[in-house]
Amino acid sequence: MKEKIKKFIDYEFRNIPDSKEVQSAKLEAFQNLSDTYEAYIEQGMESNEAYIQAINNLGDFTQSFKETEIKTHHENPQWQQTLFVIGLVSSIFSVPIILLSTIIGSLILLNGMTTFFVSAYFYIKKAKYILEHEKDVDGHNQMLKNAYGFYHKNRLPWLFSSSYLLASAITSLSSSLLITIVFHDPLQITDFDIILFTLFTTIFLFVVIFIVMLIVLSFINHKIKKAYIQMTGDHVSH
Amino acid sequence: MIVEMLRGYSDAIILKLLDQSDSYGYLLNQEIAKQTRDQLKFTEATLYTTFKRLEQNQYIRSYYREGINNVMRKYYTITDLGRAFLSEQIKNYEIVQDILSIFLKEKDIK
Repeated sequence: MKEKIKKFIDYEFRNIPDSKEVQSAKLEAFQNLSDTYEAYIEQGMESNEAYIQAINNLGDFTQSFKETEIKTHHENPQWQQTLFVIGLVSSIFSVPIILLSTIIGSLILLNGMTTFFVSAYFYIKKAKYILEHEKDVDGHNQMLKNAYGFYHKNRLPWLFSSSYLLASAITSLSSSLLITIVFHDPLQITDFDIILFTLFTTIFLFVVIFIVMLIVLSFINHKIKKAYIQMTGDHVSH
Repeated sequence: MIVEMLRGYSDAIILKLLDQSDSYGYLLNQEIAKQTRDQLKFTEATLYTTFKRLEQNQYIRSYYREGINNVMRKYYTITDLGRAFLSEQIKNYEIVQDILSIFLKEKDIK
């Protein structure tokens, strides 16, 4: 349990730059809370209850080191793991299906994205609940790691499907314009020309949009990773 | 609410206890809880901030010594400057108490 106390203190200090002073404050808090914990145990308190009561004496060190406080929520949902899996399967399936049918593929992609974001929202809330009520840093970090892991797996299907979707939407619009031109026909454009135009435009736009989306998603990914590190104090290995 | 109101006096309370004997965070908090019958107990963060402020003002000094369970603990001791400050704080407290009692006597409430 002492290790759990140490972990909680480390977590509370995670956004404070390390220094000799911070190390000293952490050690002092750890020793005092360990004594408090022992005293509660001697009084006959159950181990987990003694841990929570001891941790409640920690208080907020962020003022001392001028850091932002953590906002917490009070919910404890249970059903998100299944949704994460459904979301991931939808996202992966959207890739081949979107090549066969844009409408069905995009609906599956939308389902994958929505499912992921709904479950991620509740996962984050659950993580905050665990931290606030159970003072369990491992449990909190495990929740966030799980959500982040699913996000990481979803990224490539999302990138591919959404790029293709945008490319084919723009190509479809361009083809319609081309057909309109054909009817007025000063240049005598053939069906074969339209097919070639559609094919090359789709490939070209797909590549361009893919690169743009890659840049946009890298930016979003950087933000999400930063938020994840800030919330967990952990460094991602991805 | 009472704890919040008393927080302004954390410096004086800690100094008063250290004037009786050298001590460290956990023991001081135990003593405070005992003397106030658990009505007042500082968090670790409040204790740390108070110690830090008092040390910066040279009202206390710290040193390492074995505490309970044979573990090295950071002990605090009051300095002469700290005693002078405590004496001043006690006088100020008496003045504040007199002033507050003029306005906040319960029997004066209609």
